[in-house]
Amino acid sequence: MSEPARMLPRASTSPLTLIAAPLAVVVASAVGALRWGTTDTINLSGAALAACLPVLLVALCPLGWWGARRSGGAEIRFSDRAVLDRAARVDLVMLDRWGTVTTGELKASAVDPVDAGHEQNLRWFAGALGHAAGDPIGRALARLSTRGRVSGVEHVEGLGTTGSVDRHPVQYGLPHWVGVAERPGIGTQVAVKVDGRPLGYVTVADEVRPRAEASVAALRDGGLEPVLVSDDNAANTEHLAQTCGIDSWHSDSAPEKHGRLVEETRERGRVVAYTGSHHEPLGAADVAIRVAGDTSSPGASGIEMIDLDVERVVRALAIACASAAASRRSRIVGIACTTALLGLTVSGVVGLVPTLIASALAAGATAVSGLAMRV
Amino acid sequence: MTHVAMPVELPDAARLVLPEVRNRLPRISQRVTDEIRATVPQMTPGEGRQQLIYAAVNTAASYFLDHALGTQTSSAAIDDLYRRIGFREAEAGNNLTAIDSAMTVAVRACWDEIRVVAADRGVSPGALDDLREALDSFNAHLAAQVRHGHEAASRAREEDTGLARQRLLDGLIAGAEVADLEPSAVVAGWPVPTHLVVSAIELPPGTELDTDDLPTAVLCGTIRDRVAMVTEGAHADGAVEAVRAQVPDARLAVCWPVERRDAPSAYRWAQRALSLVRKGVIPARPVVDCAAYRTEIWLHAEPVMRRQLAQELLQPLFEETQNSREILSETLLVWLETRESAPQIAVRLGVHPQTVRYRWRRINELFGDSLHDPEFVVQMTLLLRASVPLWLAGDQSDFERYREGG
Repeated sequence: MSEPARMLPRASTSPLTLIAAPLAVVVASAVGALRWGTTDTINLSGAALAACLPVLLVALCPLGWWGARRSGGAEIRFSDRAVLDRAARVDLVMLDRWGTVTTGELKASAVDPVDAGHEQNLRWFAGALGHAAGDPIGRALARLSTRGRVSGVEHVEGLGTTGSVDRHPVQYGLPHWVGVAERPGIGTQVAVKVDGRPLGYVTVADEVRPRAEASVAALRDGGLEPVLVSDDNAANTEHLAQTCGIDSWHSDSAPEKHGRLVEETRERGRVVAYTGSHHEPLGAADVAIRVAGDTSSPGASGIEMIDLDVERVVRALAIACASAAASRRSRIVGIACTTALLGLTVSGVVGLVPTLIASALAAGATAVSGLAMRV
Repeated sequence: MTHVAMPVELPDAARLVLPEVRNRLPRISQRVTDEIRATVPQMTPGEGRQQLIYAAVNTAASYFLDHALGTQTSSAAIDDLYRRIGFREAEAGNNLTAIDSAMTVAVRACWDEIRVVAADRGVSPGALDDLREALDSFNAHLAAQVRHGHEAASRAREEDTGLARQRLLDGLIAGAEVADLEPSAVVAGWPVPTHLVVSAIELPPGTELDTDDLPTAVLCGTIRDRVAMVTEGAHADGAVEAVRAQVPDARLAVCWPVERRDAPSAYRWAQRALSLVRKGVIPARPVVDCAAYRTEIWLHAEPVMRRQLAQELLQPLFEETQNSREILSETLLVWLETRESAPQIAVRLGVHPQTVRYRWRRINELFGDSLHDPEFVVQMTLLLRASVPLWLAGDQSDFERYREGG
């Protein structure tokens, strides 16, 4: 993925800045010890050095990154720490229709034979041909019946499929292509002919993920704006968006237009995560969320998941936010512990050995606060 | 054999015309030849036959003239020639009707020529009568030679076993009475059994069946360019094997055993079985057991009636596509024959049960209440049994005729 035009502000303080103050104390103690050479001064220097252990741990170890990787497990993988930082700042999530709020598959939502007695026949012939077709509509129809003896299958992209089921010529597709009347309604109206006679219509619609609505609500609760982009028509897109509780959507949007849509949104000052499988919008987004192993943008950084399920998107972004919070927490703990220990050692209240013990405990507390995440 | 060819001595007045006739002999022989060929249909075909007639006429006329003019000649050559003519006619299985007609025509044409010359010479009627008497006598002599030759050949044929077997086969297939078959059966050494197995044999182009190599229990021969075989039931299998051993690609339709008097029908059924194999109605196996296809053989006995019945009963199907007609009629036939459920019919047809339900619904849409009429169901069952294999084999003539008629 190419680097976004506008760089996001860094979420963490520079390690050098973080360790500058304790380093100065340690250096001063070391200089004093060398100059005066007294045993007390040497002990003091050692204790000061030990007191800096928590802040050194925070500065040198990517505790948040480790925590994020552990929380993501095998399902969610962040390509690098910069992606984690950017993801924590995302405020708009663009969801491609296919695979995010839907399963990426279509399903038959209604079966309407021209004659009620032909419903089972409609299901059988359309389903049997659908098994052999393999396109999204064919896969949806295939769920209507078992496999059959099919031959001579020809798929016409964007229009439909013809073939022979048990020697009966079967044709399904868009009504105008099949040669029957168009029908209004939500979803794609698939007309079916057998032996050259219209047998009926099957309405095919997106298969919405069971937890899509709850996941979208979770995004919104987290302060993120969900936006649906779809290559379907306005009515179907609006219906899908409303089903999932999404207020913003873009219909009739071909994949090649998604990239421009992402750029325009970013130009309005939004930090955009794009979830989908198209190369251009993934490259244009601040955070690209794609399926692991997707070869459409090989080598680019982003978040890779086992699928594009919006629930998993929510979890990925939550991990990023939790990681950022854990990093902040560990910095505070580290700096506080180091400051306190330095004060005690410099004032001579504690000696070298107690300081070493206390520093080790403080470093442990710092590590725990950096690794422990509530996602 | 001795025979008086004609009076030895002719009056001088009668001999007067003969030299002039001799001068005209080539033309006269040609005219007689042409007249025979124009008058007697059996003598018409073939250049070879024309030369043969010319030679016979010319040789006979030359001998007659030589003999009448007193030249010493032997009748052995001319007698032999005419005996051989009779012999060949008998060998070919012909009687002497055509030869007799030809000789009558020849005598009349010759006499016409002689009368013209006689008129030029002013020959007296008495002399002319003598000449006519001599000519008739000579013609009778030649006719006797022909009959001798014919009788000799006929006797030989009667004693020929091969011919007797062929005559016996012809008689059995033609439905001849047992009494008429008996002489041939005796010569052939083939006692006619009460029950027979009749087969029809189809030989691949360019192959021949040597019937002499078949077992003696097998009567086999050609009847109207088709090979027929008759055996007793016990020898039927051996006969089939013998034919297949000789011509491996031969196809035999073997009828079930029938009574002797039913042999003509059995042969017709076997021939029809071969015809149905060619049409694709009966599976093309090397040996077709007619008993397994009795219904098809029976139902195709009246092809015109079958076609008319098809056009009457199957009218609802005629507007369907060829593919739809085939699959609907095939399904209807299975249902009519078995009355089984959709899943069982589906197994028979190798399709999904729902496909059978769809087809059954379509059949009901097309035929409606007729399917509840027992008479319709019986006729439809027989009709489909006869016709479906024909349609599946690609014969769509039933429907093409319907369209032409419509």
